[in-house]
Amino acid sequence: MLRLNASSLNQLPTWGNHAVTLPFSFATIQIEGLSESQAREIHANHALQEGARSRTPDAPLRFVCHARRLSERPAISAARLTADGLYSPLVDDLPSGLVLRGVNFAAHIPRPATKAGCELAVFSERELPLRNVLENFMRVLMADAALEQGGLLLHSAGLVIKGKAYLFSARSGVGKTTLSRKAFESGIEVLSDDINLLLPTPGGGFEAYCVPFSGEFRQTLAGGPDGRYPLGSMLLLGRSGGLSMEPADASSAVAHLAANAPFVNTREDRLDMLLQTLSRLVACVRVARLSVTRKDPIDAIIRLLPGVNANA
Amino acid sequence: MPDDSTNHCIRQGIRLNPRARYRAVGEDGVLIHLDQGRVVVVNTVGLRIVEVLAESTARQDLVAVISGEFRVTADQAAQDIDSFLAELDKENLLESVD
Repeated sequence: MLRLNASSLNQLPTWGNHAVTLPFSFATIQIEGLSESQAREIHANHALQEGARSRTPDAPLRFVCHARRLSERPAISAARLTADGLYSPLVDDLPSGLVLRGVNFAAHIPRPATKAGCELAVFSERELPLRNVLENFMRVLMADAALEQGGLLLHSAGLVIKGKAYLFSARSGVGKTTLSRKAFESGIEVLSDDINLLLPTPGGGFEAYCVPFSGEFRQTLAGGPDGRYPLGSMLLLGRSGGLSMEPADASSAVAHLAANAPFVNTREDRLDMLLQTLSRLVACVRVARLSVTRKDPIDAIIRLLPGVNANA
Repeated sequence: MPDDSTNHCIRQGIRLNPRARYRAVGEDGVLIHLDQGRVVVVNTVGLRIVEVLAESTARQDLVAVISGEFRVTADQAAQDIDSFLAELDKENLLESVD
């Protein structure tokens, strides 16, 4: 049985001496210890964002990650890796940081992750660049790091309309992907149909950042001067008998958003920080409860958004 | 916000789920189930019930606190408390104590 902890992971051999730097608008992630094929695959998988990212060398967050070689596969049952019917890595909160275990990888994220190197280990060489390894690792890394910065990762569909980001927060199955697909087909840019990153601005607001995370709808926004957009408003997405929108009170908004803040909302040591961040968020942006059905046309939905007129 | 919401009490065989935490948000409160990431909003009265429930107290004390602080009869307080606890139970935020 493979036993994992921080010290055991950083003792594992690397896959090679290649390195890849992923300069996202919100973070620069340098992955070292890769084989040539792993480095090539990661480059190819993230080519979409390359143009936008090259203009933003001063990302708010910087991380170094060491790719390691596991001697055997993590032995974890599928039942332990399922949350709300979806695959989700197991995250153990230890004094040294977070230890992640997925069906095909193990990782360590030190606390704070920006001060020391992370470890990402797989058994098979070809697995490291896979979405269910590298993306899952980066999601947990970003969720924790964003909260440290006063921001958060949020399950949401993100649309960019007139230069502002509108996030539609909901759990899986409520309609984020359907909404994103409709929006994209009508010419609206999509940040992500599944998960979006918010970081605070010096002026007291929040900005939504392009992230390399998406759900079933794979198209993500590659443009924008630096891959980030002022947050226009926050919509708490739900299903009902008809299209409607109503203001959300602060406490129910905080609760809804907390339920959709993955990886940090199940950690006791992060609860106060999460709720404080959400309280700041709902105090400085317009938050509304939006009920939709699958049949609602995207134009009608967009017309309801605060600050967006019918011709948006 | 309360400094410590991890202490749970027994009230007629029911207590807060040990994996549930509560925090005040404005005048309301939220209860978070740490295993599921589920969050429930409670109003001022509900938050007070949870706060009292998290301390060691008997049923009559809980009824007395709620009826006294919110100026309702003891019967009404007891009815509201039972109704509220039934809602929490549905959300797996309570557990039985043998």
